[in-house]
Amino acid sequence: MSVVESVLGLVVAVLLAAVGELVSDEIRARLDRIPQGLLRMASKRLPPEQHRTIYAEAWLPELHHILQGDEATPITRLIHGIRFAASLWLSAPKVGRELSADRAFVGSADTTWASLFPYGRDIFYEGKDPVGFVRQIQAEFGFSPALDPRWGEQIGDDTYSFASCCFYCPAEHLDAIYGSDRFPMGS
Amino acid sequence: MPAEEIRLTTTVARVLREFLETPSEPCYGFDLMRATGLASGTLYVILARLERAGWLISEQEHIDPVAAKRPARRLYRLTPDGAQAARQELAELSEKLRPPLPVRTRLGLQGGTS
Repeated sequence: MSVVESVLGLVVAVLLAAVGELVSDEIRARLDRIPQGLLRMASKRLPPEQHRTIYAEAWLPELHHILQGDEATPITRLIHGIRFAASLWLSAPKVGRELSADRAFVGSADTTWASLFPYGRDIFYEGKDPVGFVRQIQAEFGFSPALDPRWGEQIGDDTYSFASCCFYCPAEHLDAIYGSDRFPMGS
Repeated sequence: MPAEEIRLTTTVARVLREFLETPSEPCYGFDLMRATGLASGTLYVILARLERAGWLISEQEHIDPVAAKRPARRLYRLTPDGAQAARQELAELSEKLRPPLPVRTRLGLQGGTS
């Protein structure tokens, strides 16, 4: 075998290895979309007002952990991811029903949001005028939700993404901001 | 605020027991799934029920998603009332499920002759 043939063989081998890796990455990325798609289908079975709180904040980060976490090996993560999403698809309506009474629960007795969350909690503005909301909160309550680093953060994957208006609300303002009907809020 | 009553099934008991292992430590959903062996669909219904009843609170973890290169996950933690109620309910359940003493031992305890 000539030197030229050897070099050519080596180049072809390197090229094949590189292409193989690209194909493998491509397949891996496409396979990851199966549990993501299943989870999106599960989210459509939730009441719309729980889309963000349950799907985007609780389920999607867990699926991300399953698919991308340190222990994620290719086959195992796919199996775990599909099982995670499929099981949630089955039970999503039940989760929605359990949580839909959440807001009715507070205010039914002597319960206040401040008593439930004495250290305050993260809440979300879900209206169409975040700038106006920030201005109003600043004027009435003396703090700016926009100073929270998570305000306006982009959440979600490539196909499902939105700007999150998350901020920390001190306990003393929870009932006036989160617990009243004045502002469109979620948690 | 006192916690509402919860119907204690064996699956709910498994989740509560896991929380009581480290009551002050918050848990992730996936870690709870692994620890209890419950499917996600079962677990999240239980978490929702416990949260609604005031036994649990959940909050988003405080991380910078850009720096951590992952989204913030949701953490679940027992409330003080929830921890107390969970301990009591698990103790009662354990008492109910305790197997009866063997017949021979019971006879012996009642002072029977041998």
